[in-house]
Amino acid sequence: MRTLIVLIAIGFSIIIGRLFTLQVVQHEQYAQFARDNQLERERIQGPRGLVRDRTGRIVVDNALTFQIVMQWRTRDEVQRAVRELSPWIPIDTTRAMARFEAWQKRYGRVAFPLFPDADKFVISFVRENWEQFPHLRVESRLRRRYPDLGIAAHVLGYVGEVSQTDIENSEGVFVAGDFLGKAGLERQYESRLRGTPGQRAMEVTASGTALGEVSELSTAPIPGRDLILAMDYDMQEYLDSLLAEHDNPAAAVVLDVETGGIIAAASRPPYDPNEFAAGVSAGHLNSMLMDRTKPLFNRIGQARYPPASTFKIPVALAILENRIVDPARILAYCDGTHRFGNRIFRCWKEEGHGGMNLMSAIVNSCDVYFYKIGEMTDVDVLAASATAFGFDRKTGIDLPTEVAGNVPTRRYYDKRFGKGRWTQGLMLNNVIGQGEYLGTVLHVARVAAAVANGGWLVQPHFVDRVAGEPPIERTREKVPGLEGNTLTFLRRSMLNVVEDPSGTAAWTRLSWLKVAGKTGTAQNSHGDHHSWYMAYAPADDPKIALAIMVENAGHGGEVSAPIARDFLAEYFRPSRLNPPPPTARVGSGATPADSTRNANPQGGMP
Amino acid sequence: MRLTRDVDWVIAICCGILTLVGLSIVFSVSHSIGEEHAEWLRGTYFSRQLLWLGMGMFVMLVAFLIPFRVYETLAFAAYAVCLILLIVVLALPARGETQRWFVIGPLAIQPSEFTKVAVILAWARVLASHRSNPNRPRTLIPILIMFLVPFALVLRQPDLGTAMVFVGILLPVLYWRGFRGLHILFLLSPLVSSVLIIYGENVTHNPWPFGIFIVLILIVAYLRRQFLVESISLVVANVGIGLFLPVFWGHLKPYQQRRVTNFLDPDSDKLGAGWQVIQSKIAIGSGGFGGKGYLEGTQKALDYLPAKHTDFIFSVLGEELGFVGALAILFLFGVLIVRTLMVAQKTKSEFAATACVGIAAYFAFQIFVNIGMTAGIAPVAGIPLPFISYGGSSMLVSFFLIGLLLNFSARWSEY
Repeated sequence: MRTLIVLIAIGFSIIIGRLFTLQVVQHEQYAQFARDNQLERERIQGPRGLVRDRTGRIVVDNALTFQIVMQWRTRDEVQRAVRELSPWIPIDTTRAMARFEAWQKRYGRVAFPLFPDADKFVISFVRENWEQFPHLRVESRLRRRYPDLGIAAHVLGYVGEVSQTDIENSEGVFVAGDFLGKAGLERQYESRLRGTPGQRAMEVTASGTALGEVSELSTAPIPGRDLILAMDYDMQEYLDSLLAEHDNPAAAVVLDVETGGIIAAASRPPYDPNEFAAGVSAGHLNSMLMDRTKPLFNRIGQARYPPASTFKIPVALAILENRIVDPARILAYCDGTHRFGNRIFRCWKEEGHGGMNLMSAIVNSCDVYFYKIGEMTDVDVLAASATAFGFDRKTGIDLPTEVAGNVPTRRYYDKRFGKGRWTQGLMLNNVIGQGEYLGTVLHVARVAAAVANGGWLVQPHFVDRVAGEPPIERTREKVPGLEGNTLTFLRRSMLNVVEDPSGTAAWTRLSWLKVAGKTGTAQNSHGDHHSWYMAYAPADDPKIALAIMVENAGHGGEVSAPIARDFLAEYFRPSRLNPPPPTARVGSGATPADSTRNANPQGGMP
Repeated sequence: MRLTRDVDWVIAICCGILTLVGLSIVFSVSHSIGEEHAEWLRGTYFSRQLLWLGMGMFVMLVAFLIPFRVYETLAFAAYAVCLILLIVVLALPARGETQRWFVIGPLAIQPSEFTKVAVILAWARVLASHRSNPNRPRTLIPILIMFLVPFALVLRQPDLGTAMVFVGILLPVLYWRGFRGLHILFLLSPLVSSVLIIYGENVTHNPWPFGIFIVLILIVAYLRRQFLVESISLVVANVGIGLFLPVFWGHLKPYQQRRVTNFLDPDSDKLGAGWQVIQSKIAIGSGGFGGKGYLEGTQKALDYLPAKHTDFIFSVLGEELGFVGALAILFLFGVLIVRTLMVAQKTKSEFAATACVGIAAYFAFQIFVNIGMTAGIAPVAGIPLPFISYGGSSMLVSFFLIGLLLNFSARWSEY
């Protein structure tokens, strides 16, 4: 008992002693602080990491912008300031107040950015008249800058202002007006890209004169880490421009067949991520959300289509692996139609292809041959082949949102239609990639890549590495059976699609570059057919594979295949691959934005 | 009626005055925040505090009226319920980086606060059973398990401050029941070792304090060599910590390491805790001997202290009421604690006495850490000041404990 009381007494004495020191001995010093000087602190944004392409060229950077913020206590104060400013500076009073109310609702009593993007005139006006407008402050900040024309928009994503919930959940990491990645790579790699803020603590007199920095309370901001993409920005631009020639919604992906690194990828129509970085207006955001072509929808990883005739490659693998028919056998004489029970299934070519074996059926994309296969093939045998090509799962791409494809199995149909309530007729649609099979451009591009690289299913990815971090491990799995004679056969078929005069993509043949491809036409109950094309090149030493989907663009070869041809022609153009001596390319790696990395992100004049 | 005759009115009066002071400081804090928002803030903080106070009074009355034998019977059940709540709160989606709260409508409830009470009652029940002896494993091991489970769960939230409160209650309670000094050292020294190692490695970059501590431990072990097993365990435990803690530390994620170093050394967290402590010291120091006067505080309005109505409320009190006011508050707390220990001596029930010591330790620990934190001599621990800080869970718990104390004092002659 006594010991406890003694211990408690000691504790109380320590507290009282400490309070005595603070409040009586050192009182003058602290009172001085409280009366004359205040500590003001300014948060210094940690610059966000840059995004560079494979050559080191800057794709996304930070631009230095200035804003005028206002310290306020009441709404009237803001209104008065706006009214007093309006004769000197063009400012829409009603709109400014509307923005203020939104800001207040969102963040509460936090300094309000009166001019979020102030030009030189406004800045100099505020600085010169600071005595008249003591509540206004010029602040610098870094704004994310993306390529123009929405190039790679869906890949890069965008940043947006943090919400009140983000702030509350971040335990002080975020403050009002901060930005964080909301989509694409910006969101996926948010934790690496984000800089760590610092602060500058200043001792300031009551009249507002800065006395000096309190270094013990100041810390320097730390920039975020840079992302180095597998992307080749020149080719990315070119892919976007090729797709832009058509107004149709489209998705395309080009990847390195060995690593899975994505050289270019696009989702059309695009949007402008710069609008988000600047703070997109509610009206414009709404119009984008209501747009029928869904510009914000990322068709690269989220849009599933029937793989259509590109799926004939996985089907062919199933045929060869399970010895369903002898590939050399003329299985069908195509007259344009095929009768199954009392239903008529049509080949895309009305007049028919004549006698077809597996190779010519792939080259001509003959549906009748495959209908026959459909009659003979078990649901789960085909499903196993599609699963081997990864259609049943996500590809593991480094985007925050990706969907898996769909692979219908016996269980799937039993669940959907009931046991015994479905027939082999479903398989006639499945073997031509229509039925219930679904995949994204990533799934289809991986099929081409797997045939190209000797049977490996690669993990597609945009980010090659994060600067200053060990390389990111990517997975690679073997497609069972995709080797030896089977592989050779599939490669030759795909090559003949382009090289054989009867091939569905023969008219996109290049004399100097051997391309292996496969066209596809996805039937669309809502409108014109979707146009598929997948390919890899060069056929004898594959480097890159691609998949292109143009919505409502009619038959497979018609729109997608020439886009692929133009892209490949540019990619493998000898003068591009072996550029003239570097003196001719001065500055190609650096844009003027290079300097903003070191730009002083501080500001805060009175 | 005997209940009112014997009840300890001094405790009730101290608690009443402290509560009134707390309410007025909460009002003062609300008062300072911008004219336009004052209404809104008063509408939330002050009136919510009144609501909590009403509930607190009710809880106190209930705690007082029910014979304490009932609490003794229910102690384990209450303890189990609290553990379940702690587990559930961990399983809920995080609110920010920590998972401490249940949100029911406008009220947020912190199960770790209630666990403090449950732990006191449960330990008291174990230790009060006759034949219990904390120096014997059959008593000590259950007690330690009952300590470690909630300790680990609260650490997991993570809430280092509240986890420390369990230690702060456990040791005095064990000591009260005759736990030997060497054993206390055995329990306490690994904690001290850990702090010295982490502090030495990450803050001062000086390994000597830990070295000196180990030497002291060796000396104690040598002097107490007649208790051979205990002495050897003591040395092994501390040397073991010295060997393995750095390895374990290396496996923590940087943000976890930062959380611990920020706790031990608020100055290292310049954007957060360090800044708060500086502001708090300026507020308290500028209050001076007599204070600036009620509602006259200036610092509370300037830089926005995020927790000035909760954990940092003492800075506002120190500024407005000065050293005199702070002394008065400490005096009231002192009287409360001493009277609590007097109840412990007077009561004939071993359960009540042990619980009283636990309650005294609870109040003392919270007061030291909270005021020490605002004065810059204790870690920034997220521990509220009983009766003064805004906050429902703390209010309910404090009033429940006061109800229990009054209950023990009024029924001192019961077993």
